[in-house]
Amino acid sequence: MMKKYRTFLLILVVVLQTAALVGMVAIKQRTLINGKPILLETEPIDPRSLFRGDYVRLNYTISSLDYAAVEGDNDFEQHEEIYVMLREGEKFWEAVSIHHAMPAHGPESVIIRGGVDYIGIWTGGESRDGISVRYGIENYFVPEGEGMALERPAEGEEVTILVAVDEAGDSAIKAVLLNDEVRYEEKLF
Amino acid sequence: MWDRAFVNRLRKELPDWTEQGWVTPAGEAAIIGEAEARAAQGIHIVPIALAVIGALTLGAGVILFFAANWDEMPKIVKLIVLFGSMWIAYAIAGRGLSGSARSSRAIAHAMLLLGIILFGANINLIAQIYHIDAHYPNGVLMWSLGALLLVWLVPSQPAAVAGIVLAALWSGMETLDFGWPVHWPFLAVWALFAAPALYRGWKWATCAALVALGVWCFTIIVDWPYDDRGQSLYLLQVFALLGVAVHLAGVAMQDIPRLASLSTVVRRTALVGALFAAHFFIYVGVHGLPWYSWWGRDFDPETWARTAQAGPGMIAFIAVFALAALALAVERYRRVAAAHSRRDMAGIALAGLATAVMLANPLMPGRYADAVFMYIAINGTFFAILIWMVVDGYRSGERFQVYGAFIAYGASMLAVYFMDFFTLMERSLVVMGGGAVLIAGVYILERQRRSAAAAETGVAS
Repeated sequence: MMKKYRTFLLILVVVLQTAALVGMVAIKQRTLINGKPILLETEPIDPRSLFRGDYVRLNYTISSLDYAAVEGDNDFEQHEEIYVMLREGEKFWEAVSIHHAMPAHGPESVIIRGGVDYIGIWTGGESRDGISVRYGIENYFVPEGEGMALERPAEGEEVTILVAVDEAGDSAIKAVLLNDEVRYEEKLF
Repeated sequence: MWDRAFVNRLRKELPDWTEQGWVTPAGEAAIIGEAEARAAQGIHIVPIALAVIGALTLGAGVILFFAANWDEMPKIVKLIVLFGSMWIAYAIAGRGLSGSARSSRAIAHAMLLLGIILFGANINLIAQIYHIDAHYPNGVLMWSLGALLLVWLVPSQPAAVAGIVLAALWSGMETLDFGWPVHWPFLAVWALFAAPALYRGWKWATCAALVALGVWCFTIIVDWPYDDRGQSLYLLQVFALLGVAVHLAGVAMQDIPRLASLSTVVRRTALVGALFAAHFFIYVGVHGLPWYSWWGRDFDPETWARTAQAGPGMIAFIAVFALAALALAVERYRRVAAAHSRRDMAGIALAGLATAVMLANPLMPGRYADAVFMYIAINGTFFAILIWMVVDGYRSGERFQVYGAFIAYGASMLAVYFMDFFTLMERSLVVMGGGAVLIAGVYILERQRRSAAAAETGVAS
C-alpha cells in the first residue's frame, strides 16, 4: 500500500515537472498567437558561440531610450519594470512614451513591457540622460555557424525582427527577417 | 567494503588480545561472528558507486550524441529526447524505490538526482529551442522548486541538497545581478527545504541549508549599497550573533529526541558561520576606521565621525539575536552542569560580556575614540571567547571546536600582521602577544591533562 502510494507521488512529481516545462512553451506560444505583430529595427548584433549552435544578441533601437526623445515618466531606477508605448513609424515601430505602469492606449499603439537594465545611455559619441531597457527578446538561437551571417550582413543587407506583443505587454520573437524576407520563423514544432 | 576491512582487522588483532587474556576465546568467536553479520548486512558501496557512475557516464554519452546532431533534429524529436530522458530517470528511480534492498534505494535516489539534473537541463534547452529569454533567475527558481516537489512528495535527501544549492544560486543572482538589497523571498523557499530536512533528520540537507543561509548572509554584505557601507559592521554583528544562536540551538537539540541526531551537524556548521562572520571584526575598515595610510593627510581624529549609524531596525535585529544567543547560552549551562564549574561560569560571563558589547556598539556615539574603544572591546571579547572555546573543547573532547577556534585565531593574527592601520611596532606586539598566549594556553592545558591522567592512574591502582 505504502509502495503504491509512493509510486503515485513520484508520478505526480513527474507530471508537475512536465507541466511546468510545457507551461514555459505554452506561455510563449500564447504571446506568439495572440500578440500583435510589430516590426522592430535592430542595431549591430553580436553572436556568441555556445555549446550548441550560436545565439545572436539583438540590440533594438527601442532598447536605448533618451528621456529627451520620449514622453512620460523620466525617473526610472535600475531593474525597475517599465512600460513602453510604441507607434508605427514609416517602417518600424518606435517608442513614443515610457511609463511606470501600463498606460491607457488606443488601437494605433502597442505597449511592450521590459526592465530597466542601466541608467544613462551612450549615443552619438556622448552620454545622454536616459535608460537602457531589456524586453526579453534580446537573444535568438540559430544553428551552429549561422550567427556570423546575421552579425555581419553583406553590403546593403538589413536584419529586422518581427515581434509579437500581447495585451499584457509580454513579447516574443516571431521571425527574423533579412532584407524583409523571413529567414527564421518561430513554429511550435 | 569498509565493514569487510574492519572484520579483517579484527581477525588480525583478536588472536593477540586473546593471548594477552583481554578477550576470552568464546568472546573472540562472538566478536568475529557479530562483525561478519554486520558486514553482510551493510551496503556495498563500490558496486552502487560504480553503477551510479556508469549510469551518469552513459547518460552523458547519450547527451553528447544528441548534442552532436542537435541542429539536424526537428523540434518534436528534441522534445521527445528531453522529456523522455527525464521520464526514464524517474521510472528507474520509481522501480528502485519500490524495492526493499538498501542498495536499490540508494540507486533510486541517485536516479532522482539525475532526474532533477535533467529537469534543469530541460528548462535551459526548452528556453533555447523556443527562444525564451526571461528573467533568468526565475529559471533557477523553477529548477529549485522542481527539486522541492521531490523533497516533499517522495522524499529524497539528494534532491533536497540539490534544491537548496539551487535556491542559494537563485538568491545570489537576484541579489548580485538584480539589486535586491536583502532578498527576503529566499527565506520562504529556504524554510520549505529546511523544515523537511529537520523533520526527517537529514544531516547533509541540514548542513546544506545552513551553508545556504550563510551564503545568503554573505551576499547581503557583499552587495550592500556602496554609499551605505558603514552598515556592514552592524550586519556582521547580526550574522555573527545569528550563527551563535543557531550553534547554541544545536546544543539544545541534543535533548530533543527527534532532533538529537542533527545536533552535531547544526552545532558545527553554525560555529563555522559564526567564526567566519566574527573574523571580519578584526578589519578596521569594517568599523569605518581610517586606514593607516590616510594618517597625516586629511585625517583628523578630533573631527572624524563614523559615517553610518545603525537605524532602529538594525538595532532591533542585533538585540533579538544577542538576547536569543545569551538565553540559549544560559540554558545550556543550566542543563549541563548542576554544580557549575569555573569553565561553565566563565562561558556564561563571556556570553554576557559579548551580548553587552554587541548591544552597546550601535548605541555608541560615532567619535573616533568611541570607534577605537569598540574595536578593541569587540575583538578583545572575540579573542577571549576563542580561548575559552579551546579550553572548553579540549576538556569536553570537542575537537572540532578546538580546531575552529585555532583557525579563527590564526586567521585574525595573520590579518593583524598585514594591517596598515597599526604601526609595525603595534603589529609586532599584538602578534607576539598572540603567540605567547597560545604557547601559555597549550602549556597550561597539557599540564592539566597530565595531572588528570596521573590522578586517574592513582585511582585505578
